[in-house]
Amino acid sequence: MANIIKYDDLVFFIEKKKMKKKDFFKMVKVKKNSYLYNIYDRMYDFMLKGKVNLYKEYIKYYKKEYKDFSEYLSEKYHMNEEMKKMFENKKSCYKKYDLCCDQPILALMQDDEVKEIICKFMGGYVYDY
Amino acid sequence: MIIRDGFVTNSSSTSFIIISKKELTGEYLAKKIGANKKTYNYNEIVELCKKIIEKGNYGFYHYCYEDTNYELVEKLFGKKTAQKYKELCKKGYNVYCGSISSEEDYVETAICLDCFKIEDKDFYLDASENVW
Repeated sequence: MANIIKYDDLVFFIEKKKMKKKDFFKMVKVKKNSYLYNIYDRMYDFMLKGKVNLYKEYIKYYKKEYKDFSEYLSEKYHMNEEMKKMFENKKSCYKKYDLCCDQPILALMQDDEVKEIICKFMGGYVYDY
Repeated sequence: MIIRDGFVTNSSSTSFIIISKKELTGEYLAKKIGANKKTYNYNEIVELCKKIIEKGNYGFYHYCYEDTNYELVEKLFGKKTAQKYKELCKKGYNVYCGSISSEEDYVETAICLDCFKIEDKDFYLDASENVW
């Protein structure tokens, strides 16, 4: 089952233990500081840099405004019950999906073999054009 | 209002120049851009590199290979690359001039849209001349 959903301009996903940049590079296995290293570095940033943990965001900014975490997910992010089943936990995150971000990287992410890597790393794939 | 008559495209193209001491092979070029046999999509990268090498015999976008000279390289890539071209040609390095397009597969499109240089011992690549 996929652990990732694109909803409006946000990508919601479950943060796994091995989701640091070094884990991504262990998967792609390119030479450090090479051109391909730079490409995959940018790809990682496109997918994960600036991610926000939903529960931490709720506790820090919205705890007083909403009755509980569940209500916060429904009201702020318009999550239905099915989505909440997936993301109502302390590991859920979101990242803004910015189409204008890095066009070469977005093009590369349409390639079938690259899609496979992303699927394994992110727990699914939502980066189609 | 301006009416354009003729071929119109929204595709892109990047001219590149590769100057290498060794004669290029797909595997060698793949190594220079950072791939090795354990790289996830290694075979795909090698195939693209072979294609780039082949295209490197045709000349820059809108030019043929025989047009390549110091002035053209300077015009397209700037003084630094032109100086490298001049210096390394004298040493008998292999020169590959070509272009890649965004009309092809996704990996080639990605490289076409990107703007980059690689400078290494015995190897120089400039793909910063984008037309899009």
